[in-house]
Amino acid sequence: MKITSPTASTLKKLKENKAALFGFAIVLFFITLVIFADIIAPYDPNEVFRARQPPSSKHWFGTDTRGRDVFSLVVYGARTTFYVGACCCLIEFVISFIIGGVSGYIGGWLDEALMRIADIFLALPSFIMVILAVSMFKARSLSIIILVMALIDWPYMTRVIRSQVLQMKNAPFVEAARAMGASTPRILFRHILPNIILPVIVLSTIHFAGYVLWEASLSFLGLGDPNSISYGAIILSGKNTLQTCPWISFFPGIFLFLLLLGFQLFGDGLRDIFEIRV
Amino acid sequence: MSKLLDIRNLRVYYYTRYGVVKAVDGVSLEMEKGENLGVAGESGSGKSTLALSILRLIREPGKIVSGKILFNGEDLLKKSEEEMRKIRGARISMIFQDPTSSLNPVYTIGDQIGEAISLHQFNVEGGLLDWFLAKFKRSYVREVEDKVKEALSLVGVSDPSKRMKEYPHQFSGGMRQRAMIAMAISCRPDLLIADEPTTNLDVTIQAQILDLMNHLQEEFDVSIMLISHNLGVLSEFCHKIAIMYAGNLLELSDTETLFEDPKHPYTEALLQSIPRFGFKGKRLSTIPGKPPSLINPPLGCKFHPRCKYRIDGVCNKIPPPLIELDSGIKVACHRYLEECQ
Repeated sequence: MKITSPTASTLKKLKENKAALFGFAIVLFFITLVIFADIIAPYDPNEVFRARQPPSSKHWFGTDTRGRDVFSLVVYGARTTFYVGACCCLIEFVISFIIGGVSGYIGGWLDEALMRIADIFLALPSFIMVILAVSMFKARSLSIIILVMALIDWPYMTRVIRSQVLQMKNAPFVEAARAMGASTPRILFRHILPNIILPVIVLSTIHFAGYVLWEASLSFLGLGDPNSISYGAIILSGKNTLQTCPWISFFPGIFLFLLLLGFQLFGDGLRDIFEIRV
Repeated sequence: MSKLLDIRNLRVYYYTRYGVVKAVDGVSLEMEKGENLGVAGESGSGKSTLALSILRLIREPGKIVSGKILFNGEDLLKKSEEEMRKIRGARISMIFQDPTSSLNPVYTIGDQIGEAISLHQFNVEGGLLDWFLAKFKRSYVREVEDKVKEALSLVGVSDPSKRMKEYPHQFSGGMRQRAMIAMAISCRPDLLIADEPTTNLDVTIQAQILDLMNHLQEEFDVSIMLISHNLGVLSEFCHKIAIMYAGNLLELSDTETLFEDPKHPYTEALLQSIPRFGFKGKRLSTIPGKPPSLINPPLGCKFHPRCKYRIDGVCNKIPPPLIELDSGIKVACHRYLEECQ
């Protein structure tokens, strides 16, 4: 039998998992859009042309009600989705690791208290909470939306991290690190964190899609940041002219759908490849 | 010789939902400097709990209930967690049973030994950020690397500069245990606690590891507490052997006397159940009965239900104290009480 490195065998599994590969391709496509938006987009997203032009060679996806090029909007909109998704996942991870880590590693009444708070959050319908919380702000910037979403959605990842820490804290190498004189933060950050990162990555991929969808939904409801280019807002702007100019809502809708599908498939695929249950 | 370790009447209980498990129930032990002590006993006799409580590593639901652990005359049970951290790994270090899972799979061997070294020798204890920043100082990194190489070559790992960059899964079982020993010995501790260090290794590697520990002991004058259920291993290695049973210390004796003239009935029965050369054709004797429950241990001497010398009305009522015989052997059995008086 040929000996393969862990990296090689993971890549092989990824190759065999067609759905994951497809998802990965979509994710890569969007990453390209995000990085090279300036080159790919033919116009500045705020440049105004004649309104409601149908798709043509000059405007691939047509122009919207305000005369903006829909293709450029969609390309630049990808940046907003990634910004929202990545920031939310990062904030969620930081909160979850601190709360989940402390809860799992130290345990006792602190664990009990923190987990009951998490339960309260889990019991409430998250998206309705997000709508409520966001609508309390007068000036809704993207950062506020990101913070609100991450602060409402943390218990899911916290519970996963807590259960992973619970498993890890009795591992012999943690015991060995304690016997070596390592402090609790050192054990948590240096010894436990790298060992539980895999499920965190998988969950983040799936949550990423969730955050993007939430942000789009908020924008669609008119609760988004008016200064950012959001798929939800573009779809909303084409809502009233759906019968006469369907391209305004159609293209951003398709892109949003593809993005979510890509991340979901990729996340599910990673979960299967790494054999993780979250 | 001065006393390195003096455990007095130590009690460690686990508070489980089924009741209080008295894992260590009033153990008193002494270790002189430069002496190797073997702790023997069957599974669940409290050997490992005893070892962990010396480093104060007992975790919930376990608790050190009472007693004293004097290390170089200082009571470890009175120290703060901060002070304990400076003792762990530096003055008392520990080797665990399973070298495979005792090494963190995501770091290289060199990284892990380096951590032990930098924790205690470069004043970056606890300060995670300091330690992280120090990694960017080239002189510091090189110094730690040199010490890692030195530690690895001490334990007989060939080509240390190459092997220190490898991950635990690239090491064989024996090599991993060597790496663990390198880590434990890297700060030149006074006391090394080895909790069944050879149990998971095959016999030839076992012998190599024991040889290595013997060699290191001579070189660094470290005292070793070797915990094992293998009396053969202990007999080769230890000056003194302590026999534990159900959380009690039954006998503490020097190795030769223990094997030639065991005092406690349990030790006697234990020695008879070891297969020996020239034993052909006879049935190996075993100890009848099973180890007692630690939640509801039998009254009096915990061994009395299985003991063939049991004195009814005494052994099942009064727990025997640990008494010192004229020969210096300590034993906890009612049969020697009169001899002592």
